[in-house]
Amino acid sequence: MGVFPSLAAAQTTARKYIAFGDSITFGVGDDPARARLGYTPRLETLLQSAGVSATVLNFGEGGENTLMGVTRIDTALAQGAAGDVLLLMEGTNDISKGIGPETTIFNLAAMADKAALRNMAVIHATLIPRYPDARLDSENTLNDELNGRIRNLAGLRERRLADPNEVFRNTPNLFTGYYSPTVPDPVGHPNAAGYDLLARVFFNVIQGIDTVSPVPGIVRPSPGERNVRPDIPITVDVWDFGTGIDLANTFLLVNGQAVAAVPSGNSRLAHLSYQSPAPLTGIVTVGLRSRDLATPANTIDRTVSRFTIQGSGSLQGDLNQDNRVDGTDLIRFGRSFGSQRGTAAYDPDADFNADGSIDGTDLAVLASNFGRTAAAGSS
Amino acid sequence: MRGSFLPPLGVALCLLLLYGAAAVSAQEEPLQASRNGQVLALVPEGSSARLELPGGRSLRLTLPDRAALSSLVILDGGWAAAGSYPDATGGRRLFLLRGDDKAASPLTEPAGQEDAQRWNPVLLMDGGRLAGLAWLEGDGIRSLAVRAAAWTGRRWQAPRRVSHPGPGSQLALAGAVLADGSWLLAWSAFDGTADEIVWSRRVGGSWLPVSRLSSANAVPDVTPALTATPGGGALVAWSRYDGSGYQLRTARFEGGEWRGEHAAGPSGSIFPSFVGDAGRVHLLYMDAAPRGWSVLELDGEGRIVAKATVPSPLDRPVVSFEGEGVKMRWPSQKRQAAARMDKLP
Repeated sequence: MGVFPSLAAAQTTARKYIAFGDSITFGVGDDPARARLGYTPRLETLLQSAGVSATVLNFGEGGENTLMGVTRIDTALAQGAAGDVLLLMEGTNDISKGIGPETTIFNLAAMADKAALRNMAVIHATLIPRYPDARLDSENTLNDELNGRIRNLAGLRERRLADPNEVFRNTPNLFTGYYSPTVPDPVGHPNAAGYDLLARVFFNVIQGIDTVSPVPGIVRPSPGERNVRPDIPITVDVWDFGTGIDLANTFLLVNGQAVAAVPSGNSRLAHLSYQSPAPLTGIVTVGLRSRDLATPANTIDRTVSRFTIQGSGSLQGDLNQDNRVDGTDLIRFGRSFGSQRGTAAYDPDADFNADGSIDGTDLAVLASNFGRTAAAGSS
Repeated sequence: MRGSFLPPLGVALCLLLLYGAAAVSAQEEPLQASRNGQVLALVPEGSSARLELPGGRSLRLTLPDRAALSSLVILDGGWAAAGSYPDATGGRRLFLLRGDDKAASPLTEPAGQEDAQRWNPVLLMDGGRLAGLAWLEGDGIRSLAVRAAAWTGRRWQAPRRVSHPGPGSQLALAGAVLADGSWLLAWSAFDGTADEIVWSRRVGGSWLPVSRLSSANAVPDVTPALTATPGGGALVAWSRYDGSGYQLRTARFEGGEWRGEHAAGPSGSIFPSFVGDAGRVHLLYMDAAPRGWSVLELDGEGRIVAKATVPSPLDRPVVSFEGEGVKMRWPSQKRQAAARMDKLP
């Protein structure tokens, strides 16, 4: 855990934190017995317990998307003044409303600009993982795309970023322990423990406590892309919003192997680019392994994209990518069978339908290809 | 009566179309279709949907797991609906249903779909006849293109590519069939700077090149809605960022081109949809702040004739018209409201 300059450190007068967003800011899914719902009262308590004179106002509105938010935010900002802080976490509802990620980012930038015009500071926030049973984007493909762009927006505007997505996805038993099971839910809402966690994420950013590793920004090819050219360059932007990226310990992995992609840039934004000397084939997994300069270091070592090369005829079930679905794959599959996303046993490569659960449906996919060999041209 | 398939009496028949396992419940907006004074509403309810028929009757439909509905039309003697759902490989597939007031059955989807991601199918209706289907299709969510296929009455013709993938998202597909039988499609497409509304027209079986509907600008133009108008043209409505919020705009299609583009709502007027019959054009949109829903009655030129507004924090309502009034219903919440359509000078 590292410490970097605190937003609250120099605070001598009471400051308002205007929390703006959708139902996840409002507090849907929280313990209904609580007088004030969501992460905002918890954050206020954390700040006041740390000696910070702060009021956290909840301007969350259920079902809101950024087309609505960009209009409503004027009302919220009018409750603040110069020196106050906007906490901006919105966009998950755009996915079901025919709003593209480019427009979502435009709207978030417009909202932040409105705050900046009032001389308010802005803390952007990523979107928490969508529930495995979410009606749209249960595999979090669009969500990850949006989060990469939100990090990019915050970084390019030199603003702070709260990254609940990265914190939540690294939290064991996430969906069973930190998400509400009761909300009839198109996206996924935290429960009381989840809102505790969310408040802590914002608190750490405000207090300058660095608990988040370097994170992926825009990644190309995007997760889930198919029919990708075999000679496509792989590019990964890496952001760090805390103590900075340890560039000497930052690696790009292609299909599990570190490749010669020397990071360029600086400790806040690094670019990793890799051109495979041979044509890529089959399903390509891109990993990011990095750490920051905090003591102890915050680390990341996970898949940031998985795409399919054109003409591959991808062979689902080939977990060890030896071009054949056989007993070796079945053994690896068996280790994660019955696991859920967010648990230690969960193997995203074995979740063939990417629904967050490795179950009979995935087994049926493997079984349907058992004994088969990849067609010519695939890896 | 042509176009009326709904007998005055009948008992709702629950139909189970077994596409997949049950899904968790999710609140989605209802779809509505209006024709010859009849209104149908398709209300998603978790892994199923309730088709609300006139007279308080309903038909329960079981949908594919985690399906998203996107289109509902009233046909001569029945109805059709379309949507998409995630498949076991991480892709997304289309599904089509058709039925009457007693039963529903799957309608085969067009053959020849090539790419794994298929979204947002839009049924195209010519009079009371199903004319075709348009949808988004691509290798990935950032590389969707527009495709369409004609329905002969018995089978689908081979799909045609209307647009190629662009430099970013192509979303929010809308369509209408004009009085001359040509098809119009409009959608939002990222042009490298911001989303713009683009369109194409199918005349004699061929699609015209995709064109920008409005002049180029650096702000998003999003979520178009289309309807054919009684005079043989069409109206489009969408929202554009105006520096403060998103503002409703409309334009009319006449003589093969778009004319008369103008702002039709205040800042914060979003998510338009046409909800009226061919005889009268009604446009529903959301007021972002304060939250509510407004209905405009438009003439064939796209001019506003009358307006009603209902304050409400709820999602899109089902709208029907009675005399000079409008009724908004939120079936999932069992709420409703009424307002008078005030004539505007």
